[in-house]
Amino acid sequence: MDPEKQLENIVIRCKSGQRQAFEQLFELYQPRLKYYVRRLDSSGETDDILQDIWIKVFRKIRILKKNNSFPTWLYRIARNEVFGRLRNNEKFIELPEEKNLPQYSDENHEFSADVAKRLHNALNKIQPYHREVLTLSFIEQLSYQQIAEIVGCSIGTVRSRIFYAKQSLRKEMESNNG
Amino acid sequence: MDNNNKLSEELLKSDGIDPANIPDSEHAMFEQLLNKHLNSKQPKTVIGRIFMLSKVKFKVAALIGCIIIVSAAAAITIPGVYNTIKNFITAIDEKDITEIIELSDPTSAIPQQVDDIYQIAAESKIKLVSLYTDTDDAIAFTTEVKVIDTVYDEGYMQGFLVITLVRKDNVWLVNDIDLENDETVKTELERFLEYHPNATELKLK
Repeated sequence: MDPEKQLENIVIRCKSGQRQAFEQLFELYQPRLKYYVRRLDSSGETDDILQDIWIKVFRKIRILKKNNSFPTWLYRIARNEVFGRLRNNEKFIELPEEKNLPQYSDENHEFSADVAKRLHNALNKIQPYHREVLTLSFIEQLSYQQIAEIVGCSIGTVRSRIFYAKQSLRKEMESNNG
Repeated sequence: MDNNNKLSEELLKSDGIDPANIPDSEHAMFEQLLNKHLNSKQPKTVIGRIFMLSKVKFKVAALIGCIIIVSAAAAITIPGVYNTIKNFITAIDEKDITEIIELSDPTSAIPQQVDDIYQIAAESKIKLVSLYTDTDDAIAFTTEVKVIDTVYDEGYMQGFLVITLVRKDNVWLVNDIDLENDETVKTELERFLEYHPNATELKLK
């Protein structure tokens, strides 16, 4: 079965309260969710936040209308949960939308463990709003449309944010290289 | 494994997360939460659930004694919380975003939920069904509403608004709003009462 169908199937079984389905969902998403929350959260309360996210998933999955939109829905819950706790500590600043972006081509890198480690370190040094979109893009390979739904902005804003985020990331990686 | 999956996996490893092996402590936490969720009893209707819980609370209160209830009630700023929730619900009905923001905790997620709140609609005026409060936290339940689904354009979602409030510097402010179905409303109330065992249900005007 293709992964999307498989996920839909798990979500349907969760809606009918099947324990095994919830466990499968946890196995599938907990590691990546943890990575995402850690990138947004500066309070060190990642474990508490993850617990609250899963509680919300249990309680609300029945009202999720499109079963295949689960990843977008899950990350939106996660984002709201982190923001609810961030309070005044770290505000995400909306960037102006750039209309004329230079042409950007994604090089098809081979990702070794070393490259990933340097990428991870650089990711932690860039602006939080840049870090967020790149994390969603890297760990879930979500589309611009899906990221826009999670972040709550237009696709154009996501496009420009990812563009500038990649520039910042590249700069960080280059400066680390000396 | 394709290149994207490899990147995702290596990033997780760089952060000390093993994508293929979730730690036992996290499994245990999840199992505990899941057991609690799956074992919660679920009566049939929202009003019935709130009523049932009210009866249980009444029995407990009777055992503890009226004096405690009176003193607890005296400590609660009833008009404050009631006015805030009443005005907040009216503001939702009237799409008065300025009032919604003014009645909300500025450090909560509400200011970011304004677009969602704007999509709330009801067949008739939204009414407050139930309000529980202790000295600094409160939870309110409304009549059924619809929320227009702008994201997936699938019509609307239907449910009850569950609104939590917090008292800050003697001012009651809304700090969360959620849409719950008739099965999850009870869980919300149980959770609130678990964290606020001294909370009482306010008689609505």
